[in-house]
Amino acid sequence: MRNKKKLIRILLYLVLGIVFLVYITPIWYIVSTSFKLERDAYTIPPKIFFIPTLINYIDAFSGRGMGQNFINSLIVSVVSSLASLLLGTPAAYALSRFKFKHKENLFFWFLSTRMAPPMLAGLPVYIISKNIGLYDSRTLLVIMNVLINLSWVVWMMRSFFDDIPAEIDEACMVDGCSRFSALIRVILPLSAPGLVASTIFCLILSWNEYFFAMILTSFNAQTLPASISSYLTIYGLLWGQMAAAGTVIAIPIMVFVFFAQKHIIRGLTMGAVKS
Amino acid sequence: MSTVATTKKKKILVKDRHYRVMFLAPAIAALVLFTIYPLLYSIKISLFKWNMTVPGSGDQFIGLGNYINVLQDAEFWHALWITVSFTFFSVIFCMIVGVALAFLMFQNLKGANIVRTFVIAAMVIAPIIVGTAWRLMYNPGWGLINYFLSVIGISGNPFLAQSSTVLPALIVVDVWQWSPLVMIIVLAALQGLSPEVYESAEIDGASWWQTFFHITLPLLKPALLLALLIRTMDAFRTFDTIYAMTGGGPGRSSENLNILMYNTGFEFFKVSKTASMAVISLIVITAICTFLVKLFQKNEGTVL
Repeated sequence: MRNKKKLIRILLYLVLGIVFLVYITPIWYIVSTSFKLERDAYTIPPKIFFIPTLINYIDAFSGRGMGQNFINSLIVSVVSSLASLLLGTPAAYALSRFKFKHKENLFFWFLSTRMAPPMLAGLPVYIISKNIGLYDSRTLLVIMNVLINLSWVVWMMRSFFDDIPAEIDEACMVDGCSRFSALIRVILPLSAPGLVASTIFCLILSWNEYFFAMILTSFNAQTLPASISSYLTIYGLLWGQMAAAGTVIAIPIMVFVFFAQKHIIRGLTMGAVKS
Repeated sequence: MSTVATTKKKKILVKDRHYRVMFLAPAIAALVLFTIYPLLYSIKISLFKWNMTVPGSGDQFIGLGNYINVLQDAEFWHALWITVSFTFFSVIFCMIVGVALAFLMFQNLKGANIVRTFVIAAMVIAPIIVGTAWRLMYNPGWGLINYFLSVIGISGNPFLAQSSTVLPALIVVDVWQWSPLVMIIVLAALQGLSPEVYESAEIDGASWWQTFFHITLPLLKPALLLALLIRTMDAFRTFDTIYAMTGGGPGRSSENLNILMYNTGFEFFKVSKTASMAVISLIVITAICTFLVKLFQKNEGTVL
């Protein structure tokens, strides 16, 4: 019996090791390719030890305008995340606290933006933005990212608000606070983890957003993910530089995963599974 | 005293009506502007014969012509079939792998935390990068996957370049990327289960499998259904990874609805046809999700 348990334990560790390898390999592969010279990248068997080079990064930053893409990504992510929180948090609070007709329909409508095919918004926005001159602008991308993030913010913040007893707001208001100041002074500080989680989520979603950035920008407002397709098509296959761009996109996300994992998990599960 | 409290409460309720509007209006305005308006605009252009490369074609009203056209179009049905089968297999395998991962992470193994971090990273890294990384790995010449296969004596395959293997190859990537989501949801549910249930099962002499199928799985049902719902919605609208790895090819063998719409709209500029496909696609996914939500509410009742 003891031996059997030990064996199961060993097997479990073996499986854990395999899972680790399966999940780290693609990440390691793209990062290592970005530091390889072309002759090191295309070898069989793959080189694990090689002399790292920054040539792909230098080429991508100087020759291909990756710096500009990086700045675009940064501005679009930060501004759209803040805007989504500003719009979504009060709405989430209203959905959590107030009783009114068709409340659940409204909630489902917010969620439906996650369900609709992206082309349904992408095509009209493309045509309209071309007509009114917003095409290829960061403003347009901010707006589209708010559209994506809003449903997440409403979904997540509502579940955080639901976990705070409504008696707390009522006690505040009986003491003479308005709804607004109860929300700002008492409820928001109590739901700080929710705000952090939502912010991180918005930042990640808009930092990674690809589809709208690809169809709605050409040069000026091109973000980092959208720039990936230019390595894929026009200039043939510049694997090294593409891997460099990929690494630059992935690094901030990895930092989030390492240092704010609790918030990412908590955000996902609190929004989904009540614990 | 109590009357003072009730009048205060009444006042609060009256004021709440204003706050309700104030809190909801901005978000609803944004949603109307960016969901309802584009939807109506899409429906409008779907009723014309607009091709951006043909001047003046935007004025030709053809009613439901595009819809009839699309529904008679073999390409559309093919893409719908690809979308549905991709979604079906990807979701099934995501559920199985995700539940297995959740149980693995639940075993208090040393080092599980660091493994979990990398597992979670898979779904947080940009899908376009995930697609790019796997495209590198699938490369028939120098990719890692064919190298490993050659080590164990299987000759290399251009997995992404032959129509028989491209869909399974893409599903593998999707499962790799999104099983972690199922894992997270199920793991949270597992941690929420009370240990007493297991203790009594053990006392009753239930085997591990009996406990798993008769106690754990039913208790996890709400979490599983939620994961199923989210995964179905997301798998149905997969674009980034497929676009990065195959662009819909070889030929049309991995062209799902989103890729087909992108090609029709932004490669061939058949705007009206694209719009009508988008509307049909919305109807299909709404039907699927409504069914799943109904199923969900029947079993859970409260969430959503």
